[in-house]
Amino acid sequence: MKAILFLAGGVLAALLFVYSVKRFYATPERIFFFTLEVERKSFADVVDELKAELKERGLGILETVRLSEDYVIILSCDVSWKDQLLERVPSLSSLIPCPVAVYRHRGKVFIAVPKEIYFVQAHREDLGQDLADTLTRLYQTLRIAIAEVAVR
Amino acid sequence: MRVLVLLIFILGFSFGDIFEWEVEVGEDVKGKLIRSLEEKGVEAVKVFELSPTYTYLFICGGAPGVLQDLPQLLTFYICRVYIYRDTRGNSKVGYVNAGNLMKVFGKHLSEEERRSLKEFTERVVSAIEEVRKK
Repeated sequence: MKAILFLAGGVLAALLFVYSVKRFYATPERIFFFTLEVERKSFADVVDELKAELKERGLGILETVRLSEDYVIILSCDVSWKDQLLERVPSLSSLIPCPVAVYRHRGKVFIAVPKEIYFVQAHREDLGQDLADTLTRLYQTLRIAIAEVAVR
Repeated sequence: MRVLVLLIFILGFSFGDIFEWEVEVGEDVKGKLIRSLEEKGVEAVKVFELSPTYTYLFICGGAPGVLQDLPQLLTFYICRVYIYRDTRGNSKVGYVNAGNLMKVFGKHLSEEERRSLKEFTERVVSAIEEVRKK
């Protein structure tokens, strides 16, 4: 009897674990995007501060595209090795230039970028270890820049 | 499709990029593609020559509206069409695999957003199909 109860408890715990991972962590929003809310700053200030921060960290800005009053995409990461990257994996212009979105959603301001991990895993073989690592480090720097603006 | 994506992450398998869609095109396709997109009501807002063999078209002139339920999605492939010459000298055009995109993200969008996104990506795909090498 104890063994059956133990087994049933184990199965229930495993199901709860799978459900919570699927419900709260494995959502496309969490898997594919790094998103931070920015408090106590206007939309325009966030765009300006972010552009300055990206420049300061040497990421460069290719273009700023205003899609609406509440949505701006900053195409950043004008890196010298983009030719090499795009020659090996042409579809990675999904990451380079880095599309950094600043948008207002339900009255709050957010900054979002795609996460590189899916793309790096999907193309690891073609990228090679060095380029995969370089891309990962670049996106880490980008996330730090975003976090800096969000918490400052 | 969602299971496949989860497997990529959890087990580290690589199935390639499921969001990628490419077709072979003829030479000097850039002008033709931009015109073809315009005819479908899709404006190439910015055109960047990222390298001598790689052109990046930014095409989201507010076209699919700003998605309310998943605003980040606009950064993800939808706004970009690329043209490049591969190492064998073939010219290709790439865009998002809209079908797979909808399979992964569609459930997180409203009916109106799904309709708007589907309609937009179909216009882009049909513009690309017009310049595709037959």
